[in-house]
Amino acid sequence: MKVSTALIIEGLQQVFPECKQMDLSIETLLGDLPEWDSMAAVNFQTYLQQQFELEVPIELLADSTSLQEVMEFIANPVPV
Amino acid sequence: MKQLPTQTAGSNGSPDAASIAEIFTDLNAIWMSDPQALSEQLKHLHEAMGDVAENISAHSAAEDATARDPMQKILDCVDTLAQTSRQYHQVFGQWLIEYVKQTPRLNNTRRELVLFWVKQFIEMASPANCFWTNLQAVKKLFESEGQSLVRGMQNWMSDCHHGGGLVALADPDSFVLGSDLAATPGHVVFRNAIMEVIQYTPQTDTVWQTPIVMIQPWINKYYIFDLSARNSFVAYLVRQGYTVFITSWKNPGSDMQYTRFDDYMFKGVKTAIQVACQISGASRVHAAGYCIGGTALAALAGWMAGDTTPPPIGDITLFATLLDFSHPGEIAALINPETVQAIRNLASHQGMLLSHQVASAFRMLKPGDLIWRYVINNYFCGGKPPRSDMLFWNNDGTRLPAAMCRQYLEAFYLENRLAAPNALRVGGRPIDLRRIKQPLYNVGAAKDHICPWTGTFQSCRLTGGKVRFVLADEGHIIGIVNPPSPWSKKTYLAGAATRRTDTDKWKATQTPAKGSWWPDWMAWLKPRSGRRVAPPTMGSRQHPALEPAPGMYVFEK
Repeated sequence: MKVSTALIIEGLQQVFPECKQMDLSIETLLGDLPEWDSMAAVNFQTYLQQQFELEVPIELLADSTSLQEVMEFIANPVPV
Repeated sequence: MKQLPTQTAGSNGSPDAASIAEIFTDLNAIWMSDPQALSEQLKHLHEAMGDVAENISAHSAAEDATARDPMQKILDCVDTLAQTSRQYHQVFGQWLIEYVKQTPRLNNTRRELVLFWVKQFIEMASPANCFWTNLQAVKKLFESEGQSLVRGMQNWMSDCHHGGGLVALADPDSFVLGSDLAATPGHVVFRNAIMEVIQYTPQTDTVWQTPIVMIQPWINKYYIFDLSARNSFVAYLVRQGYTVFITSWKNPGSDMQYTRFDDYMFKGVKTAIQVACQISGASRVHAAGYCIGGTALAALAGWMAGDTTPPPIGDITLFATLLDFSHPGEIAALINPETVQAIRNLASHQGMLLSHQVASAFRMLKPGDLIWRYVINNYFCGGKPPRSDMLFWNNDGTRLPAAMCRQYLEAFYLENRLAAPNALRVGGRPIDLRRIKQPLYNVGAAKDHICPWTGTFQSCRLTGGKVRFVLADEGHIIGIVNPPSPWSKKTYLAGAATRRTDTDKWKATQTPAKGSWWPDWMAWLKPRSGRRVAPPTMGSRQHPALEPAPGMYVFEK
């Protein structure tokens, strides 16, 4: 699946409006996002699952996960 | 300067809008009594707002003459308005928090209470939470020719009708209990007025001799440990060769208004352990409790330490559990003598706390994640609540008996009597946690806002056995529901802790391990589990299998 950075960033900005004031890039770690915590992870997981119609494991979405890694998972989804 | 009054509850004891407004009136009165200090504060605000205006003016782009589509022009306008207001909101929010933090002669408890409400206000006033400064909502309005707002209104009316006015977090039709969630095979093998005990069907030829008994919190349904197949904690334990029993609590009705914490300890925890021993033939169990379930388990273990017979608990595992309530985290802002009185009045009047009242308190601890995000999605954008097993579970709340609420809030949160030796008396005996000699596996979660990990660490000091402490990543739920997985990016710390171990030093001296802490628990548990034996029957003559899991109580709304 082709995944554009813009789509991921747009999703993040939807889930976290505060992100609009950040310079987001593929190196950005989820833990750097304002208010990032377990519930934020569940909300981001929900967004990704609805947007890309695949199952995203919640344990992938940790503080140390970069947007690059999220995109790689979506580009090459593995049944979870 | 005048002192802020301590009274915050309204005349009827409820924390109503008038009494909250009174807090802020009094706060401002403190500042008004020192006009010079107030003037300094306002000067800071004026300067910060001026900087925002300058920044906006410097970055404002010339109007795009090519954008002739009137709808696009409106959306551009909304976007500009949203961005501008977001900057002002951020600066004003930061100033307001500092204004409260710097208020002189305000005791810490009162300051935390004021900060709690200020943060609620700041979150509520976010431009994203106003329709015309939410670009996504306005776009949906145009794209759907108004239908998004119609659906949003229908969603709101449905929540008013079915959800006690709380915005739905998850689509209530997206999962079916017993087939999608809470679906690990097993049987209800015991039922009384307060709980069902579920025994899971073995999936290995032999099992460890010592079974595991999971004591679940009754402030939600039990199946947080049995969500979808891939993240089911009980399914993982069954695959590891354990006979697993779990408590599924009754959702209380008015007939349970006099049910106390003691009842949950004796008719619940103690009985579940007895049932597990009787069915498995084991003389003792691995007892594991989560949150308030862990508190009840530890209290029972302390109580049983006064028995002359050997306890049926071989070792104890606590997941995100407080035994020392001196620093209960963010929820402390909602638990003080006035609010407890208000909750008592409410619970006594109704005979219980209703599920949406319990849920409201927890959602207010994370308003952005658990309220406003769904107001935008469900109401402003007219979207369906999402499909998520965790959110579905979160949305499936329970009521709480009035007597239990009163006892729990007063004896545990306000008076912290479980932590003090012999200060809490239940079932005719005082409880002294130091007499617990069983090994303890104690799990805290680094971002837990309900049971802060530093508070859970105190259990290492309160109990008398050897302790292994584990600090998981993430929060109260995902820190615990933490399955091993090839995609896991999580880390955890694990190591011994004693009565004298300092919290910060412990953390600083541990080496992070990658992945889930569940295998670490298994490595700790298995040497304590006896031999491998043939699996016990499902139920027994004394406790026959009553019906397939997930049983009856979990469906009670």
